[in-house]
Amino acid sequence: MQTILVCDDDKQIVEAIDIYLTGEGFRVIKAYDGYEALELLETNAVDLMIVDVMMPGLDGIRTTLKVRETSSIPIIILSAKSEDNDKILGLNIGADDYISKPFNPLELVARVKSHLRRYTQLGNMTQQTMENVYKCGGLMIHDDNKEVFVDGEPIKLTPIEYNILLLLVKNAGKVFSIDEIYEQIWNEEAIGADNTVAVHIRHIREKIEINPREPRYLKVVWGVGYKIEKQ
Amino acid sequence: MKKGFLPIGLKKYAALLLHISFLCLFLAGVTLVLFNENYGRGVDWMEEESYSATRSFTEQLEADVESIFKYVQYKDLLELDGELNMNADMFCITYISDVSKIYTLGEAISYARRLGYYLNDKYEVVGGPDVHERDQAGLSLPSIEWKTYSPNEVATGPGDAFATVEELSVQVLEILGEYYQVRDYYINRPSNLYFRVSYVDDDGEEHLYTNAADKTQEDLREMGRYLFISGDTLFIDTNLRHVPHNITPELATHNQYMNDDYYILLGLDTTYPYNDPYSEAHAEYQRIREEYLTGLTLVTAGAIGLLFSLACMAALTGHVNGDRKKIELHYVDQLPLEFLLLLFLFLLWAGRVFAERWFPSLLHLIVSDEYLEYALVLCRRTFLYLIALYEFLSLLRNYKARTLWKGSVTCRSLQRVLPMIRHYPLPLRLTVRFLFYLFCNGLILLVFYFMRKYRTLLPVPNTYLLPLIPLGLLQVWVYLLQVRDKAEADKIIKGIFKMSAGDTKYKIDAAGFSETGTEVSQALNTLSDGLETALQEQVKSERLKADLITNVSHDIKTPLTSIINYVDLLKREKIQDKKIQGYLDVLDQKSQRLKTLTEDLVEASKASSGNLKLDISEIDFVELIQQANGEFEERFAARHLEVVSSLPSESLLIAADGRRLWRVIENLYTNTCKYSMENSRVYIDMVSGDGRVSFTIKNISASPLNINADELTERFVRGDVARTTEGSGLGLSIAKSLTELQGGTFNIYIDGDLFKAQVSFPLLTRQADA
Repeated sequence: MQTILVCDDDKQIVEAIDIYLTGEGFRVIKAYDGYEALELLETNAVDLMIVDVMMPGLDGIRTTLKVRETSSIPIIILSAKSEDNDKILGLNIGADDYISKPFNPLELVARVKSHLRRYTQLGNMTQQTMENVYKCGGLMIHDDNKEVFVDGEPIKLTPIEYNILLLLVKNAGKVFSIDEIYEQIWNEEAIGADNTVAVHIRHIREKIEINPREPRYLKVVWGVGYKIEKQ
Repeated sequence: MKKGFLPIGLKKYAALLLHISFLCLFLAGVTLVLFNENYGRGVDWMEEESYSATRSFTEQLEADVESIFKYVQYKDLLELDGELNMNADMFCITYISDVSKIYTLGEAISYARRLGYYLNDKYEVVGGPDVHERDQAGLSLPSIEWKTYSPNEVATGPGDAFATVEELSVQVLEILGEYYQVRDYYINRPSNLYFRVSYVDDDGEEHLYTNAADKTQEDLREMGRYLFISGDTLFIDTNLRHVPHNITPELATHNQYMNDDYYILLGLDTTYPYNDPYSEAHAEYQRIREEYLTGLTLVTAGAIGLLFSLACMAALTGHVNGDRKKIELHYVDQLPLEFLLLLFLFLLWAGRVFAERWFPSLLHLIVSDEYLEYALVLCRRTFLYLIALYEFLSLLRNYKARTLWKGSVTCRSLQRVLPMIRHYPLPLRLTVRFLFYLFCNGLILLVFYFMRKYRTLLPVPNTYLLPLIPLGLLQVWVYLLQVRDKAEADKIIKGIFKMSAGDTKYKIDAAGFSETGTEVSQALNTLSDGLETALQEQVKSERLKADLITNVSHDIKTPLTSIINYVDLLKREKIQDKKIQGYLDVLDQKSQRLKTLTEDLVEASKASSGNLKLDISEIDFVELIQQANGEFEERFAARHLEVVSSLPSESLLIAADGRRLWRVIENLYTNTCKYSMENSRVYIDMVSGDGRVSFTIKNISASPLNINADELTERFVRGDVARTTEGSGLGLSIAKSLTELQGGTFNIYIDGDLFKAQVSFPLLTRQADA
């Protein structure tokens, strides 16, 4: 059973998260400020930590920094601050994910699971240096048997979706415009624009992303094209 | 002024005394120089230094050369072995009766003496009878056969060949006088001029004429000045500056022999050991030269002294002991400027009249007629100078006391009149100003006219032109005033334009402005200050508002999280009661709406206050719309909306923040999804032209749009006034603010149920890169 430390000064929020995670079969230990969280971390084997930013005493940012001194467990920041700057700050100081309040409980659970899978499978997966396997963070494509995994979970894609994803993953970090993707996948010149590519991309996103509106892997570069974020 | 040894009063008198002394010196110098015969010759002649180098010396020498040659001529005629030969034949005459008679020197002298002629102490012929022989004799004159003293004389006129014995005897007497004169001046008496004339006759015998038989040729050459001319050469050996022009012809003329063996040697002892005409002329020359030098020195020293003492007086005048800043004005000084000037003119006129009436008779007491004219001019000018000096000092004291302009009648009356005029309306004021200008011009011209008419009365000639100077100055002044006014107006106008263009930090530099200009500039500067402050306040309050909204939204979000979570947990409890399920749905809906609302609120406040960091880059608007179409395809389909899109096939590049522009488009699309009538068509167009690219989305509203297009983009306004559906009502407002922040334009058009939104951006023109 995996242990998750939840730290928030709002008891009801902690309680709710406890209910959701316990329901999914996790052991949850609760802390109501940064110091408490740090103490519990020392006495318990914690697999993942969810921490609020605005807390009395030691705030979430400083707690994360403190934890990162000794541990590499996944840390998800849960904050009412939803501006870009806050997200960038949180991710820069060592947090693995940033979820802004009010959050969707299902999304939270999904993310927790995803991080845990990645964290626990990280060791054996890095050793598998197979041919025709493309990896990008938690996204993995086995080109030999045309399989796609997100955080270890298999994903079902149509052939065209698979080809688009493969193209993007192979060239991770590069931005492809709609026309470029069309020409590469359909092997035809893109004359006249229609929504085909954009719709496919949306479908891929819906399949591989936890929150398609805030994608982790397949990002939309508005007015330019699409890309797989290099991780 | 430092505290000196003397009190200031004494210093003033000393300066005045000094000034007058120097004036006297100056005038004495002028007089000396003016009456010196060297006046007008410049100063070059000073270098000539000695008399023996001057022209007048040469003239004197020429006269002496003539005398010397007369002596040469007469010596052989009148002398025999160094004595006067009374038996020497002088002339021969023939009477009508053909009787000839030869007169000897003795006979001629006794004949003349009988008639009363004699030689005076200057060897001139004086005296003579009351009745001349010629008159008695009538026409029967004896004819002249020959004259030994003038052997080559040829009669040129009808009466020349005839003469009375008296006339001839007088001629002989004159010759004798001249002979005596040379003998006396140069031979018997010691002379500074030595001469030596030598001819050699046909027999080889030398005839020597000299007053220096005891001196050799070398002795003569060693004297201060010498001259040697020889018959066998054209070269003149001399150290004279000017050679007497008559000496060579005289020398040649008196050579009676047919050879070139002759010479003349002159020597002048420039130490002037003997008292003779040369030493006298030399002494006189030195005296005049010294006088001239003295005069020049006096003029120079006087002029310098005058200037110096004038400066002293100018510095001292008006000051009193003790207080350095205090200026004491005399009684006269307290008159206004105009009266001072009038007084000055009056004094000048009075001085002139006084000088003309009284000076001549006064001066006659001490000055001879010869110098009267000069003395009059001198006295008159000195008198006028003293008046001018007093006037100058008086004006200077006024200037020092700063009452020159302030005390003047003009200034005082202006001070009276100006405040009265100030309350007049502007056109009247301008008219008064113009009339005043005309008045000044007219006044000056009037003065000019009268001065010109009575110009003969003016003490100094041509001073009637003086009023033209203030006339010119007046025009220049008025011109400068106009230029200044216009320059001020220009600066102020520029400032107003800058301020109205939004540069509220702009300040008008009022340095050197007139009173009105300064006031206006200050008022404008205050205005711009106020604007700037207001603007700053507004920016500050907008930011405060945005911060407040952000912070409040954070505080709302935390309880909201719990509400949403627990509503969700309640729903999971699978409550069978339909009623409770209905309540939960409401709770779920409203809490979700509250969530959107808080998020949109933050975004709206940030977008409208410009408190956003934009990441502007080059993006393809067409691609963005294609992406958006892809994102929304299913949502349109769910509402049975048919999308009719016409997009250009080529890329249309604009400069924008891709994510923010997506938010704009997303808002518009979301709106369309929400409010369009089901089963209707949505038109999505993009056109480029005039350097802009415009995106348009058109749809038919499900409910009537009984609202103004402008109001739609205001915050919290929605097409449906009832506010039943989800959404914050901020969507269009955010879209508009975001578009404008990125430099685009956002417009909404409503025509009946047709809703049309247009987003337009300037098109980037990129160089064709194939």
